[in-house]
Amino acid sequence: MPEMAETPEFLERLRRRDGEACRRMIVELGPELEGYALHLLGDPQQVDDLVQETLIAALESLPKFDGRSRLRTWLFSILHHKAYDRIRQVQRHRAREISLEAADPLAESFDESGHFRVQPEDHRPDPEQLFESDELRQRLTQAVGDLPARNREAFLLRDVHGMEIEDAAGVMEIKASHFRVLLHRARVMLRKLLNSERDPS
Amino acid sequence: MMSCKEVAALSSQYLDQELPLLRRLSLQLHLMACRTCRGLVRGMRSLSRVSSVLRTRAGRCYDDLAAKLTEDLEKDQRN
Repeated sequence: MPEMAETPEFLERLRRRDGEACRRMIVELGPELEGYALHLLGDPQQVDDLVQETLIAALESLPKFDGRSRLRTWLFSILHHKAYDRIRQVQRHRAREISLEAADPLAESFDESGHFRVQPEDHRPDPEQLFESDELRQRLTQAVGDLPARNREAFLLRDVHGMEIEDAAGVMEIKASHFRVLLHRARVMLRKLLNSERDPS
Repeated sequence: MMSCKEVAALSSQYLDQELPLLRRLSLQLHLMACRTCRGLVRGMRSLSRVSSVLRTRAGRCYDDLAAKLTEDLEKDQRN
């Protein structure tokens, strides 16, 4: 899908909430927001509501959109806030706290001189060589769902939606250095999860 | 030379092209000598490349929702 041109004229029309400009924003960015919501929450039943709430909140706030971030980043930020309200609610109903962030998945992998102790299980062939695309989508969806929430979100924003690191850190309201750690651990864990799914032995 | 541990820690920044020149070269030197780290970096690069399959849910169209929401908006603006 071609990137929507965020020209000053288009943004001005959005701020005036011109119907045609708003319609275009929803048609072009709605599917991506939905993809992000789906994998962030992992619950298809909540997705339509969340995307709709996000779009309604955006339509209400458009006159205040200052254009300092891109429109797409701004919409992702609104969805992030709404999704975390839900994630926190789910947390409150659990018997025990689950971690939102992963520890270093490779922490135990090195000897004293910093060399890999054994060949780690995730150093095997590439996912794209191993899966047909439907199967890849399914396995990746499952593995992404198994990540702690904040690592999952970092991976979604950067690798799935291709956002710049500074923008993605802005959506999560964290420093870029913290974002990089979350992203790195997500990638390492996904490699492991994909391999263990493929090879249960 | 960089250790495997350092390479593993920097591998994401390497793939995101965020490492300064000297660190990048030092990491590349290690990769030339170490098959294990080469595998790690190649695997992570490949993962990043295939991840966009999750970007949208297949076959969804937002024309109807867009029409409904903008209609509501226009009604609001008229009132």
